[in-house]
Amino acid sequence: MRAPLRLASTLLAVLAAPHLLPAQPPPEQRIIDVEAAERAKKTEHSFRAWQAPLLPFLVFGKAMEKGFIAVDRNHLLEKAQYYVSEHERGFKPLFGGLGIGTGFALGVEYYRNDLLRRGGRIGIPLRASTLLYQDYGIDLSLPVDSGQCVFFDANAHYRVRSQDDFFGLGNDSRAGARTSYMLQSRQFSFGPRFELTRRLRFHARFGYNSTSVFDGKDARFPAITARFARNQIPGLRSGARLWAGEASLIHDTRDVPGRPRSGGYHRLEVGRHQSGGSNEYGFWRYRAEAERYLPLGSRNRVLALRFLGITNQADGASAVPFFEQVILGGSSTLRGFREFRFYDTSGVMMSAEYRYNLNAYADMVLFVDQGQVARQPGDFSWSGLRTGYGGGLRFLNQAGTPFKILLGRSNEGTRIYFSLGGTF
Amino acid sequence: MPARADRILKAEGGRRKAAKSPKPPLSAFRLLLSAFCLLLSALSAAAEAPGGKAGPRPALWVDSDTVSIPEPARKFDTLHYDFFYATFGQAPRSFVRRLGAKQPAWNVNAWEEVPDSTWYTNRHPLHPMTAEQVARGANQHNGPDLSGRLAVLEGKTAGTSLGFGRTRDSAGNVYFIKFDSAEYPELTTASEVIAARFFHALGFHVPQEWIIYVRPEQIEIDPKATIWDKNGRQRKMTRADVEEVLKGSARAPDGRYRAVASLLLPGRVKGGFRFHGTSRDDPNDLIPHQHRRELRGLRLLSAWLNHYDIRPGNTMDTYVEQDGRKFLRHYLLDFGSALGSASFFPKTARMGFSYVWDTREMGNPFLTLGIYQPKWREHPAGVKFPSVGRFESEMFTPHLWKPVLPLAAFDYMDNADAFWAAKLVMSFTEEQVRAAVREGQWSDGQAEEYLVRTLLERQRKVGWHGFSVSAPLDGFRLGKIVGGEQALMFDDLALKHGFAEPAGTYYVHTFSRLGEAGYLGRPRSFRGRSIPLGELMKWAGPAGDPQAVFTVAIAARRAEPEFGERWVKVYLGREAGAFRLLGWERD
Repeated sequence: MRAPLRLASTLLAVLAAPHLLPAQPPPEQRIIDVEAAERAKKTEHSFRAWQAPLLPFLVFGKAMEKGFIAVDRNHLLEKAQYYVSEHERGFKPLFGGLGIGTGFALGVEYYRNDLLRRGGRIGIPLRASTLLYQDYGIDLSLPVDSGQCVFFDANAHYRVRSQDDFFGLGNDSRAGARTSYMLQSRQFSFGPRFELTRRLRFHARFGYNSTSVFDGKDARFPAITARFARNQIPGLRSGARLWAGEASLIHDTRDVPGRPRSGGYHRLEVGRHQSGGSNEYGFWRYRAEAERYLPLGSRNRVLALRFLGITNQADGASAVPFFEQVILGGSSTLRGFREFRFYDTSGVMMSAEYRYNLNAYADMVLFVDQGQVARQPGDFSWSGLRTGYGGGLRFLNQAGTPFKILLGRSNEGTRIYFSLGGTF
Repeated sequence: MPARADRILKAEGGRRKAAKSPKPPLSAFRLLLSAFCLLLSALSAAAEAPGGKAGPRPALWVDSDTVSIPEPARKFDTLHYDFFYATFGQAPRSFVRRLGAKQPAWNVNAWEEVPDSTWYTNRHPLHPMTAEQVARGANQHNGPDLSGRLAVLEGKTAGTSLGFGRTRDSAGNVYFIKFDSAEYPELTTASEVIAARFFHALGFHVPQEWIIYVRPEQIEIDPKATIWDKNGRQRKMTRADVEEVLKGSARAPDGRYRAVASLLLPGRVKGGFRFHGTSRDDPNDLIPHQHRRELRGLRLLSAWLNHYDIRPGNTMDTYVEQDGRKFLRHYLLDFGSALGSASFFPKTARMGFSYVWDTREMGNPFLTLGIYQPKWREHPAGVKFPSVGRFESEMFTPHLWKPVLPLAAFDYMDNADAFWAAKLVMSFTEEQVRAAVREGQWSDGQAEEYLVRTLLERQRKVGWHGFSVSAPLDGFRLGKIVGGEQALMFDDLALKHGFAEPAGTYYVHTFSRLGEAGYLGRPRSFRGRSIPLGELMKWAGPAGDPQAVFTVAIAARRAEPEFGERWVKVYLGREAGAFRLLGWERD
């Protein structure tokens, strides 16, 4: 009896159920063919055979994504910026700063910007490069007056330049005569600096520089003494110990010194260098430098002009050590030629550079450099000018030109320069 | 007559014209080029679904993408990766896309509109909003309770503007607070609020935002509050941090600080969405983002409002629960770089005209040795009002406008998407624009007026662009004309908004049966905006195939030479001896 009842009640419940349940919502629809879209999505997120050649790029992209997320989540850029930038006191890393062709240079500097009074700074930089160039020293700058117009600067450095190049003296030295030499110098100097106006300043400096010369460490080229006799080149035999006094006047009207679009930079300098206890080396140095930045109808096109003239006038039988002479060649002077290509007691150099802006971060550059070294300014001649030309890219930031890539060409070949900082 | 026939053939995909065209000889170079393009196309389009078939699209107003899904993992956005991916990783795909045919957006319904989804909600003008509703935006209440104190729960960690992270008001609601910089009062906050109002009215999900004025003593720090300082270290937040933020912020004459308060989004935050592909862990996300019309059209909408900083980092997915379902909802946020603002300073001359790294913008000066420089770089627009920033309409060219990074969805925008966006933009009346701008609470009436005028001028340009690249015929409907004959009626938005003169405008139409070559009858030209369908009914036959779909292709011809001849196809089915509207589609 129970079984039929149970069966009947179950049947009733089944029949009544659709009427008792709440109404079902209408079927949900997608605007697309769901099956096709799901297949497409599956394909999108799976690895396909034709992607095999792209695998390295895909892996690189994924790694980059993970890396950037890690950098951003952990605020690593802010941390890096903190450690790289200068604060009141502490240590900061140094990158480069030893000149062109010195290899990859790294270092650290201990500094204090709160020395004695506001504006006083002491820095102790220690840096070395992969080619064993070294620079260890101490730099001091103290404001003398409360208005911070007069400063007292002092510094002392020990430097090793392990493999600079030397091709011989004079404008006609042969590119094939490349040799290598090493300089070891101990130097100190001190003097006042007057910030006369916002654009005009005057420096005076007194100091001592003891330099020793050795054969260079560049095994690819002969040592300097293997090609040049010690008594043939001034300073090669035993280096030089020089007392120096210099004064310079600087007029700077550039709008942004690191990436100027208008204005100019002008510098006049005179200095006296004298070897201690003998007259072996004694000379006056005169230097004139001028840069002008001319916008060509717009700040996006600039013609940059530079003139540099230096002469060292030796006394009587005295000489000028070769490492104190005018040196032309390389990415900051005569482009298209090797670094340290030309040495002599006097030199003149002119550059014309057309810079045009590509975007906020890059300028394109076309340049022509001409330069010449000679024994005396009277020996300069138009026919003696060496010419380099080329172009490249200057990468910009807010304050300056942190990096540039230039291609220079001359009658001695083509050279590519990757370097920190602007040429001028 | 042959010229007219050719134009009409374009409406049918140019099949006959293509068949008659002589084919150029197939050289080895062309073969190689074709193979290269095919390979690149495979790289870019392999994941794409087959193209839509001819005929009316689904008659849906809701795309049901709210099925419950497991909670996705939190994604983290990084501007640096986005920059490298968008600038260099995406470049080959963009190149290929430009070579290949454009693919229409996938999520378009029968009426050329975007159905509601977790991405988009049809608001104005489909559901017309009053000026007050536009001005209110997404806001559901009156904003933070400032009767008591504001407790800062965390320092601001993202973005460049001055402010605080999560901050709790007296009522217990949590907001993000952003101030104006001292140099540019009202700039950031006004831009943020105004753009949010517009994007809400345009149909996007945006946070609720209010301009508030707070006294320094109102701000207190929660004992557990932490901050990532500028040195990249996380530490406990102190009063000094608050003071530092306030020190750089603009202060009103009465000593209060003006800020924008953005209500914490509902649900659990899951990170931003990208403008290409689909999200792997969201099963509802089946439409590649570059094929979403609302994201493609967002390019013109952003152009109008100069929302330069639109990028994945300024979007947000949240995992929400609604009606017992759990799914992702997609938001746009952070409009502090809209209009003339670039967060806490005015936009630079480049913004809106060039990506951060723009190969094309660099290429022209490079090749011409700098003689050619774009106008925006040679003669950049000035900043007329510091509180408005750099916002102009003279050099603005809608389709050339660029955000901070190239975005795939923007690159995919086609003419139909542009029309859709332009229609939305043009739907705002001056009164509505004024109402939204008034939400910026400007202290300078001239600045407010300047912004309104500039927005209206930019609006015209966006409209002009959208209505000239696609047939500006819309609002198709069936009605009866004199004599009781059924007719297809439509609106001409170019006439409605005054871009073209009625006297110089006439239309042409053809009838055809979907899936069959050739036309039913001869193309006809007419002046009114209604097409009698009696002739088509004769062709169709009262007892014809009830499943047959008929196409009415319509184009406008105008005296204004700037308007090309663009076609729109209207699909008609049959029902009880009459026609019924199945939808329409733009070429």
